[in-house]
Amino acid sequence: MSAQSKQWIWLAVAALLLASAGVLLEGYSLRLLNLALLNVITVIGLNLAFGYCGIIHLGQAAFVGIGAYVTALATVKLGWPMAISIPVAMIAAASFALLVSLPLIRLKGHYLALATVGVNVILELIAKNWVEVTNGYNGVTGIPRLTDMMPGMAPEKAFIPIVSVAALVVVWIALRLRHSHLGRAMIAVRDDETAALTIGIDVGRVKVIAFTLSAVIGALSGTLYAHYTGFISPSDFAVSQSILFLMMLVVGGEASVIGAILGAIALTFLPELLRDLAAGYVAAGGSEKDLIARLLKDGYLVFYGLITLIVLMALPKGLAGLLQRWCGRAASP
Amino acid sequence: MTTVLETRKLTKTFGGLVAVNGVSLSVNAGEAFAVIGPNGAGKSTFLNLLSGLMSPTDGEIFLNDTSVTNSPAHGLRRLGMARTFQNGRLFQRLTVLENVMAGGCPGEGARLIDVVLRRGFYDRWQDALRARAETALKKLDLWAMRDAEISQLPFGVQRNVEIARALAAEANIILLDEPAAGLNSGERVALVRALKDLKSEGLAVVLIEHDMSLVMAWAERIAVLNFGEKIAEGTPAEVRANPKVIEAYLGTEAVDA
Repeated sequence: MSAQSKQWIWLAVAALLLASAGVLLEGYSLRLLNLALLNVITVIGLNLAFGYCGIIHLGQAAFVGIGAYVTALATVKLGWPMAISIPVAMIAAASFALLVSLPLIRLKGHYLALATVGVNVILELIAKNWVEVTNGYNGVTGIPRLTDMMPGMAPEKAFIPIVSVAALVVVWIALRLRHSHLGRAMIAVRDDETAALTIGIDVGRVKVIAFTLSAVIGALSGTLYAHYTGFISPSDFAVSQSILFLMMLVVGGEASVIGAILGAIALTFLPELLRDLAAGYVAAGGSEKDLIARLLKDGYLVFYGLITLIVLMALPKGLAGLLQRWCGRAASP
Repeated sequence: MTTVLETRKLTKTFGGLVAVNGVSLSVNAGEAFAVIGPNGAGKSTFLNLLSGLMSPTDGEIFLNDTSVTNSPAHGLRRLGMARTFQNGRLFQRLTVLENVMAGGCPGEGARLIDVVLRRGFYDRWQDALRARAETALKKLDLWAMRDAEISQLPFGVQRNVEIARALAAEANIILLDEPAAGLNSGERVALVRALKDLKSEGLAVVLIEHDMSLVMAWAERIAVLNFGEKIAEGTPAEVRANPKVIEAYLGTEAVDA
C-alpha cells in the first residue's frame, strides 16, 4: 500500500475515534478533549520550528495569543464577523512572526531560546498593560462563540467537530510538508547546517519559513480557543504555556507529527487524571487529610513533573518512539 | 577546453596565520584533479573557500564563468557545484533516499499552497527529483538501502551516500574532501571504481586527499600545497619528479609507489 493511501486510512481512523469520543464523552472530559485538540494544533505548529528545524522555541504561546487577541478584539470591539477576523488574526501572527524571525534566526542555541522567551514576555506585558485596547488583566469577555452556529447542541459537544476538522486538516498539512522539499530541508538544517548549505539549502530562508508556519498554525489554535471559551486573558498565553507546549512535543517525541499529537493529548489529560485519582482515593475511604490524598490533590503537579521527567529519561524518542517499538518498524510520519 | 573552476590568487588569513596564500589554479570540464599536501598545508581551508563556507581575504573564484568570490554557499549548487565532507555529514534523521533528495528545490514558482495541495507540477517535479536520486543511488549500489536510517549504515557506505547526494545535485564539478579517510581496503576499491565512474560521466572532480596511491592512480592533474602556497602543479609523473614536492611532502617511498 502506498504511503499516501496509508495516511488517508490513519486520518479516517482518527476522525472516527474523535466522532465516537464526541458522542460518548460527557461534561468535563469533553472539555478536556476540546482543549487537547487545540493543543494538538499548537504543538504540530511548534514541531515545524522546533522538531524539524531545531529552533528552540519558547514563545509559541505568544503566537497563539496573537491569534486569540486579534480575532477577539476584532469581533468584540469592531464587530467583525469571525469569517474575516480569524484569517486576519492568522495573517497578523504570520506577519509578526516573519518580522521577528528575521533578526531571531541569526541567533543560535540558548541565545535563540532566550530571545523567543523575550518575545513572549513582551507580548504578555503588552496584553496586561495596554488596558485601553486589551482590557489588561481582566481579559476580553463576550467573544462570540463558533458553537453559537449550532444552537441546538451543548457548546462543548458542538465544538468537537469544529476543532476535530481543524486538527485533522493541520495534521494532513503537516504530513504533506514533511514529505516535501521543505520538510526535508527543515530536517536537514537541524541535522547539519553546513552540509545543508553545500547542497543548496538556503538555511536562513528555511528557518524563517519554519518559524512563520509554526506561528500561523499556533494562531489558528488561538483563534479557535478564543471563539470556544468566549473569554481570554493574558495568563492564557504566558511563557509557562510556551514551556508546556515544548514539553508536550518533547514528551510525545520531537520531530514527529504523531509525537506532537500524543504529547499534546497526554499532557492535557494527565493533570486531570491525577486530580481524579486523588478524588478516588478519598472516595475509597482514604482520609482527606493524609499525605497521599494531599499529594494527589494539591501536589498533582509534582507527579506531573515526575512523570514527564521519567518519560524524558526513559524514552529519548518520546511516546512516539514507544509506539514505534510496539508496532515494530511502523511508518512514522 | 572549458574551464569549470578557476581561482586567482586566492588568499585566506586567520589573524596572523596565512592559511591559503595566493593560490591560482583552474580545473577543466571533466577533469580528475587532485589537491595534495602535508597536514596543515591549507587543503581543507582551500576547499572551504571553493565551496563558499568561508570567504576569501583576497583573490577571486570563478565557477562556470560566474564570479562566486563572495557568493553564499547555498547558491553554488545552482551554479553547478557540490561537495562532500571528510567526516561524513549526512542528515541523521532522514533516510538514505531523503538525504539524496534533500536540497532539491522546485524553484521560485512553487508556492506553499502548491506544496500542500500537491498540484500536478509539484508532484511531477518531486517524481523527477526522486528519479534523479534513484539514478545516483543505483550508480553507487545503494538503491537497496534507500529506506535505511543513516546510523544503521557502516562508515564506508555513509561516505558513498554523501557522494550520491553530491551526484544528485546535477553539478558539473564535485569537490571530495578526503573520501578515502577511514575506509577499509574493500571500501577503498569501491571508492576508486566510483571515482572512475564519475570521470566517465564527464564530471570534473576535485579530490583533496592524503592517500597517495589513490591520487597517483586516479588523477590527471595534481596541485601540491605546502604552507598555504601552491608549490607544484602537473601530471602525476611531473609532480612525482618535482624536487620541491619530494622535499616538502612525498619522501622517496611514496615516489616509488
